[in-house]
Amino acid sequence: MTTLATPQLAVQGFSSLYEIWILLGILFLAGLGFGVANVIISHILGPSRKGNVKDSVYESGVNPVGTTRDRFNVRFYLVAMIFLVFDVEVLFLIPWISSFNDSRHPWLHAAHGPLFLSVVIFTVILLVAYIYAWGKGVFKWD
Amino acid sequence: MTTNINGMCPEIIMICGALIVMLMGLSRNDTVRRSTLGVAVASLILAFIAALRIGGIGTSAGWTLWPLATYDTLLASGVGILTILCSAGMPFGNEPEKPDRNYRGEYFALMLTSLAGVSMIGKTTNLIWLFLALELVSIPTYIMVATGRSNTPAQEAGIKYFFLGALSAAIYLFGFSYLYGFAGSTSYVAITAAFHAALATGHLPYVAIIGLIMVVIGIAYKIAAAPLHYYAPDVYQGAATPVTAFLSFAPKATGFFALIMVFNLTGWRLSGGTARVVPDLLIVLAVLTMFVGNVLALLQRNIKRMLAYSSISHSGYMLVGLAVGPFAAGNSPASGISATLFYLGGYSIMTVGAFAALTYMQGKSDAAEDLDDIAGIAGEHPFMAACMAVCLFSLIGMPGTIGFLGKLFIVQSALAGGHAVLAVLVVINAAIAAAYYLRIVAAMYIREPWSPFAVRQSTTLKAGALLGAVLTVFFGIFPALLFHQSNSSAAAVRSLVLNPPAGGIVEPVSRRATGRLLKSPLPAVAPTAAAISKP
Amino acid sequence: MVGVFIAHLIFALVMLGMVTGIIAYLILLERKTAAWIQDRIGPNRVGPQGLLQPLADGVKFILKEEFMPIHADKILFILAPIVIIAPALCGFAVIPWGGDLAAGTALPKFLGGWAFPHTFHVMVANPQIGVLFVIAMASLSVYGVVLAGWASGSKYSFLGGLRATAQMISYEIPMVLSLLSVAVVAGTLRLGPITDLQATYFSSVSFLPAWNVFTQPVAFLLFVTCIFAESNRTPFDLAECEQELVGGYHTEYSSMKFALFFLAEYSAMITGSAVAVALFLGGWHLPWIDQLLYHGAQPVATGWLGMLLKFVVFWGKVIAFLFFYMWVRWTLPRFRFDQLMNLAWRGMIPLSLATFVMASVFVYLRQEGIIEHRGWLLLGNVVLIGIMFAVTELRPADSGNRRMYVLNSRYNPIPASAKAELESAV
Repeated sequence: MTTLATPQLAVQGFSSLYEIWILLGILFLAGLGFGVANVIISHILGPSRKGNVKDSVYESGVNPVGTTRDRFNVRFYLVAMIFLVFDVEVLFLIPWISSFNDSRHPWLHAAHGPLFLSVVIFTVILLVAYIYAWGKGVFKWD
Repeated sequence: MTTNINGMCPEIIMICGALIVMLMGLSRNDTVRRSTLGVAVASLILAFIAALRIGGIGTSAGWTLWPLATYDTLLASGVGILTILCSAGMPFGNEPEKPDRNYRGEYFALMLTSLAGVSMIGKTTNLIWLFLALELVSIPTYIMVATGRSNTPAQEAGIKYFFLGALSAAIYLFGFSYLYGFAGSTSYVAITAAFHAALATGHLPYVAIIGLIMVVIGIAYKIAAAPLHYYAPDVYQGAATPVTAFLSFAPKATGFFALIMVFNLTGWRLSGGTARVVPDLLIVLAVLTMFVGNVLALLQRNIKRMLAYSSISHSGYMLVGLAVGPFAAGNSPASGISATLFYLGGYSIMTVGAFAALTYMQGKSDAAEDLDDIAGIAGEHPFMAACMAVCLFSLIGMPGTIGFLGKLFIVQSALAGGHAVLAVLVVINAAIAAAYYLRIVAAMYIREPWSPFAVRQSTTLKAGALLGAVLTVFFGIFPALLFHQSNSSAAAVRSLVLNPPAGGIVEPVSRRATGRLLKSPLPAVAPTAAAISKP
Repeated sequence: MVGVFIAHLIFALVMLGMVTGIIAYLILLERKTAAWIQDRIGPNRVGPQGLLQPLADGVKFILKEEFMPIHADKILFILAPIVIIAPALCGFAVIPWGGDLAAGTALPKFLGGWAFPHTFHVMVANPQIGVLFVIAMASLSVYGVVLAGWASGSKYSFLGGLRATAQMISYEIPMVLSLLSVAVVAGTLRLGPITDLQATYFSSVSFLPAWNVFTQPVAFLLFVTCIFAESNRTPFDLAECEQELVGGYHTEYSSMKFALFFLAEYSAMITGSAVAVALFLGGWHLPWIDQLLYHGAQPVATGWLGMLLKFVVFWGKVIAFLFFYMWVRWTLPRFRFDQLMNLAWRGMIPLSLATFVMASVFVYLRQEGIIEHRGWLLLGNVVLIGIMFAVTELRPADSGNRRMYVLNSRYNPIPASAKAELESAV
C-alpha cells in the first residue's frame, strides 16, 4: 500500500476552512479589479473619435451585409448536448475518486470492491452512449 | 429502492435489453435492426420470469411490498410485450438508402427503459426513488411521441406532452418536498411514522395536506384525470398508434401504483378533520373524470380521440377504487385496492389489444383516424375486426370479458365502502360508454365500405391483436390468475397499513446479499461520526 | 490564526504581481522565440536587447482608442474581457510552488521574526478540491470567449466564438479525465500531495524519478494536448485564426480590452504549464541532484533555502514548458475544424476514458494487494498505447479527407473530362 500518509491537515493553521475560500475570493476580486481598472483607465486615457462608417463592424472593409444573430449549424447544439452527457459523468467521477482511494476512511477501503464495480458499470453505460452517438454520426464533421 | 439487489433483477434485465437494442439499432444491416423487436420481447419475457422467480425473496426486507411490486413488474413486462408486438406497425422511417434515419433501436430502447420505470414504482422505498421512477417512465414517452411520426400533429403532441409533463413533474416534486418538510425525511418509513404520529393526535398539519394534494394533482396528470386531461386527446391523436397504445398503459399504471405508494404513507386513514380533504378530492376527481371522459367521447368522430376520452373515463373508474381504500370488503377482490389493481391489469390488456387492432387498420394515411376509415372493414378483414370488437366489448363491460369483472369489483367495492352514489355513477357511466364503443363496432360491421382498405400486413401485429383479444376473454373466464395477484397485493397493503414498520432507518444495504454478490462484505460496524470527521 | 491568513494573503498578492509581470515578459519571449525560429532578430529597440518592450506595449495599449461597434451588445461587450481575465488570474491559486515551509521557520529579523506556527504550504490556498478548482477556472474562460463573440455583433467574432466554444468544451472532457486518472492514483484532489508523491524514484536502484509523466505518459500527452486547445494556441487556434476570421472573437476589440484577452491567454498558458509541472513533471522535485544535496529523497517541508530552491526549480520547469508552447506555435500549422473535432471526440475522449479506467484498475489491484509497484502503471500505459494503435487500424477509414479539385491548381487540377463538363455547363 503506497497510499498517502496525509501530511495535509484539513485546516492548516487556519481558524476555519472558510478562510481558504476567503483567500480565493480575494484573489478572484483582485483579478476582477485588474480587469475593471484596465478597462476604465484606457477608456479615460484613450482618444475617442466617432463616425458612422467607423462604428460599423469589420467585414473586410466592405459594408456589413445582413445580421449576425442568425441561425447557425445544428452540430454545435449536438456537441453541446453530448458534452453535457460527458460533463455530468465527470462530475460523478470526482466524488467517486475521493471515496475510492481515500486513506482517511478505512471503512471505505473495505468497500472498494463494490465501489470499483459501480464505476465499471457506470463506464460501460457511458460507453454505450458513446458508441450510440458515434453510430448516429454526432461526431461527423465534414 | 429495494434493499436487495436481486429484487431489482427484472429492471436490470430490461435496462440491459434496452442498451443491447439501442446498439443493435445502429447496425447498417436491416436484418439485425429488425431483430430488435425479438430482443426486446425476449428481455421482457426474461423479466417476467425473473419477477415470478424472485416473488418472495424480499419478504423480510422490511418496507417493500413484494406482492405489489411483483404485480407491478408482471404487469409492466406482460403488457409491455403486448405493446411491443403492437409496435411492429410503427413506420420507423424505413428508407433502405438512409439507415441513419431508422429509429427502430431507439424506439424499443426507450420503450424498455420506460417499462423498467413502471416496474420500479412498486419497489420504491423513498420519495426520491419514486420521483426517479416516475421520470424514468415519462421522459422516454415524450421522445416516443415526437419521433414516432414525422408530421406536424405529432410534433405538436410531443411538445405539448413534454411541457405539460414537465409541469406535472414539478407539481408532484413540489408535493414531495412538502412531505419531506413534514416528516424530515424522504424515506417511506420515516414519513409513515410521521403520518401515524400526526393522525394519532387527530390533527394533520397543513404542510402534509398541501403536499398530498400536490402529489395527487401532479399524478392526476399522468393518469389523465379530469380536469388535467386536456392534453390526452391531442397527444393520443398526434402520436403514432402503437405509441398511443403505450401511452394508454404506461403512464396510467405508473400513476396508479405511485398513488397507492403515496397513500400507503398516510395509512389510508385520512377520514376526519382537515385530512378529509384528500379523500374528497379523490372522489371529486373520480366523478369528474368518469363523466368528462364518457360524455366527451360521445362527441368524437376520430377513433383515436374517442379512445383517448375512453381511457380518461377508465381512469375515473379506477379512481373510485382508490377513493374507497383498502379496508372495505376485507380480503376479497372487492376491496378498493384490489379492484383498482385488477381493473388496471384488465384495462391495460384490453386497451392495448384494441390499439393493436387499430394499428392494423391503416386507413388513408399511416393510421386509421376517422370512423369512415374503418366503415365495413369486417367484410374484408373479419379476423382483425373480431379482435377489435372483443376488446371494445370488454371496454364496455360485457359479461364474459375482463372488463365486466373489473367494473363488477369496482362497483362492489364502492358499495362495500358505503359509497352507493359512486357505485350508481359508475353504472351510469358504463351505460354512456356503451354508446360510443358500439358506434365503432357498428361502423365496422354494419356500414358499407366506401373506399378500399389499406392495412399493415404484419404477422407480429396480428399476433399482438390476437393475444390482446384472447387474454381479454381468457381472464374474463378465468380471472383467478389475475385477481390472485391483485388480491395479495391489496392484502400486503392492508397488513402494512395495519402494522406499520417501526420508525427509524431501513438498513441501507443488505449485507449478506451484497457480500454474496460481490464477495466483499461491508464492515459490520457503521463508521462513527468521529471516524468520519477525523482528518 | 490571523498570522497564517495574512501570510497566505501576502503570498497571494506577490504571486499575482509575479504572474502578471511574467506574462508581460512572456510576450517578449514569444516574439524573441519566433524571431529565433524564423531566423530574424526580433524586438531590440526599446531598452537593451528590447527588454523594455513590454512596458512600451503596455503604455501603447492604454493610450489607444477604444472601439465599440454600434451593433454590439454594450454591457456584454465590456463585460467579456473582464470575465475572461478574472478566472485566468485565479487559476494559479492552488499550485504548490515550492513544497512546504517547516513549522517553526521564522521570518528574517528585519521583518519581525514571526515564526510559522504550522507547516506553511507555499501556495495561495490549499482547498480539498484542488484539481477541481483548476478545472473550474479553466472552464470559466469559455464564458468570456462566448460573450465576446456574441456581443461584438460581427460575423467574424461570432464564428470565432462559436468555434471556440465547441473546441473548448470538447477538449475539457479529456483534460478532466486525464487529471482524474492522476488524482485517482494519488487518492486526493489536492495538488500538493500529488506533487509530493512524485518526489521519489521508481525503486531504490532506479534512475528514473517516479514522476507521473513516466508512470502515466498517456495521461500526460492527453493533458498537454488539451491545455494547448484550452488556451486557443496553435495548432488549435481556430477561434482566432487570422487568415480566415481576422481575429476571431476579439476582432472588434481594441486598446486595453484587447490586451486583456491577450493577457488571459498567456495567463492560461502559465496556469496550464504550472499544473502540468505540478501533476506530471514532479513539481519542485529536482531529480538526481537531490541525492547529492540531501543524501536521499528531497524532503517536503524545509526551511527558507530549500523552499527558494524548490521555487526556482518549479519556475524553471514552468518556463521550459512555456518555451515548448512557443516552439510548437511557430512550428506546427493549424488543424482544420473537422480534424480538430475528430481528434477530440473520436480520439482523445475514448483514450482518456480508457486511461482513467486503467488507472482505477491499478488502484483497485493495489488495494487488493495484488500489485504495488508503480511500474505496473507504466506497463498498463504501454499496453494501452498498443491497443490504441491496434484499434485505429481496425477502425473504418474516414471519408473526411477528400481531394478537392481546384481550378488552375498546380497540385490538384480538375480532370480534363470534368473540366469540359464544367465549361459546357457555364
